Amino acid sequence: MGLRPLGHRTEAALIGPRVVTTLKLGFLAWAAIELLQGDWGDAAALVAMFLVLLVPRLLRLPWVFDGAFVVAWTLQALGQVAGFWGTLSWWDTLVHAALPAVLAPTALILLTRLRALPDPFTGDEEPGTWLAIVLMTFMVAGSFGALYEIYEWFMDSNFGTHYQPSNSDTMTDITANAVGGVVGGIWLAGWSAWRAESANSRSEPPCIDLAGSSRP
Amino acid sequence: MPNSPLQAPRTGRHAAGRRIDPRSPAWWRRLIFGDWHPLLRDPLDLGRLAFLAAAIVFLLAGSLEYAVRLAGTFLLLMGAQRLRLPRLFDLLFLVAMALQAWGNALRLFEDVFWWDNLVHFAVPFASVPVLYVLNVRLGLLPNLEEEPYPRHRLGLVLFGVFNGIAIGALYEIYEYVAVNWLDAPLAIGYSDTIFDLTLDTGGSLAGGVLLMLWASARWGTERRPL
Repeated sequence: MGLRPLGHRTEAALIGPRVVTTLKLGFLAWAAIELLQGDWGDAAALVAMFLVLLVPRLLRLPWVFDGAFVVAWTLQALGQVAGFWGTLSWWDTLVHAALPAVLAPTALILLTRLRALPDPFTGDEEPGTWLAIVLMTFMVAGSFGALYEIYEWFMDSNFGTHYQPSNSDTMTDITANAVGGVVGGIWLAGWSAWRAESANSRSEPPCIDLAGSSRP
Repeated sequence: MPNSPLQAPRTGRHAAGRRIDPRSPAWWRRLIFGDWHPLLRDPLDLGRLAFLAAAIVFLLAGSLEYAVRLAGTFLLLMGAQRLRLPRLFDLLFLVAMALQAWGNALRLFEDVFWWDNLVHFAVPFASVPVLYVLNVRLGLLPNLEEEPYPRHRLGLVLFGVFNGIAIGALYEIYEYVAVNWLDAPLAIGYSDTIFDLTLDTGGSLAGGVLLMLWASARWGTERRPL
């Protein structure tokens, strides 16, 4: 299935995607500045983040997911490159909540498109459908957050990194992941409800965009 | 009136209208695998009642904390009974709950150094199938046996594993809150938390594999009548 031509959209509908694309290119510009200042490590990190930011578009996710990706990874970049982690004590917690809130719904959509998880909308639309979306997103976020903490411990124990200063930090991270998962789940449920309502008004099947169209 | 809709459905040997001979192997089969009565079906239900009895004993002995813990476990097991789990899932869940509940009541967590590790593996292992069946009963997930594609079954098992790990993470949060805010006498630390999460992950994966094998055999998620 090819990408839809952009001509069918109004100019107003294109403002959001264009802003998101500009912000993404900002990562490359920032990487160039870091490179000119001789900071190869930060430049490489920003280029890597830019490549990650291309994922939603490659998956043909709606642009709101694209935008959410940019916001979450900007928080990560500000922490990692601009040093916010060192200057603002709560920044790490914010990032630990923001990234799962975006990544977990994306992972759920991806798993649904791969038909590895059932599309909650394939059956009759029931009140449980929305709960299923929130629960699934929370479980994905919570489990990946826990696995990430195990990874951090492994790196600190075996490769001399200092990702985790204490158990309290780990528990704060896990809690932030869980909260981010719930927020992401509620967001995905709300977006799905809006999509289902739009699809019903157009007599289309209400599903989580299995075919991967590029509508908002 | 053999086909009256008002009559209870007949299954197994009863369906043939024959009485069960107490001396036949089927008598022993029924004794072990149950379906004695809707409220007390088999030895597993007796095992559930043991938790209630123990809670009462601890309460009478003046140990409120252990009485509450055992009563809580009893309620959890009664919830599992309502799910009409396959017998193997029911048995595993009962054993896992016994490991944690009796580990607390008999202070095995303090006296046996590997008990905590055993529980952190066994509880997710036994809980993943139960959580999956819970999701099915709530209508959140489809039944494994109805999924024709192996990839679907793999995905559902994967979700069961996500359940196990995420709940393990929530339990670690509970432990942390209990120690730091409620002064609970638990030994926690960074390495302990990570080791617990690792065992939770291993147990969840093992539970997922069990669920996958179960689905491959198309054994369903309902307790089958004898």
